[in-house]
Amino acid sequence: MIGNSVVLAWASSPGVSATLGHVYLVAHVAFACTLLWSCLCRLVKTSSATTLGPIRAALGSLGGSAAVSIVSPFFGVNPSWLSCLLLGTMAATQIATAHYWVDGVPQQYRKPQAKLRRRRTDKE
Amino acid sequence: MPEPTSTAAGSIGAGAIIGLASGYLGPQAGPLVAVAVAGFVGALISMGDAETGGRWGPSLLHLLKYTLLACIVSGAVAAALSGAIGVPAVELVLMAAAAVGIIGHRWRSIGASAAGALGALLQRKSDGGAR
Repeated sequence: MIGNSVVLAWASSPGVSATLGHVYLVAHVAFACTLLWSCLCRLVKTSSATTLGPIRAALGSLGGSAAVSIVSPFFGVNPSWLSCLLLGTMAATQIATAHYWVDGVPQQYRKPQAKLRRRRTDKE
Repeated sequence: MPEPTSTAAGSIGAGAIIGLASGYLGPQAGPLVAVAVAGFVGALISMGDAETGGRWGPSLLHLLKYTLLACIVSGAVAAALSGAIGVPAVELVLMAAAAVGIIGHRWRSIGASAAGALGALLQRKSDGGAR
């Protein structure tokens, strides 16, 4: 696989003495921790009174999946380049969209009655 | 007779996950870690519903409270369910832990609904017996 070859080339380069499994393991856990943290930050701001149900369910299940991913090496799961790629891109998406959550739940994700309470950054 | 290293030899689903965890982490820590993770996932889902006012303190307290509760009660819940439906408790314990976490702060309203349903059932039975 191309992904394996690229990572193996880097891992076996001079100065880096890691096996392919170690690289994937560290990347997998790091990306999963980032994903869990980003979901935690958002779930702190949501509540059933203000936020749409599917958004809460999606964030909860994504955070839960990230938590399971963190401990999955203890359950015999060997991370692959594909799982690292998926986790990394999901973490990047969460980071890229984080600024929409700075002042609370974005307006599009709020329940109709909760939209009446305006945020500081809302447009006039 | 050698002590079994897995709590769930030959089982499927949740029992197999617990068996794998026992193999990697030992027969005591493995099931506990699996149950704690299931409880944490459930508590994370219920945290999104809880009215914490966007503050970290109440949110983390919620997570801690219901993860610990799941660790403590899921074994007993799984054992009780196992007696009722005949499925081995090891297959139910992760589901019980996740359910405890997902119910979370809503246990009072769910308990009231269950008590109401039980009361209605008993009332219907006593009405049927009186006739």
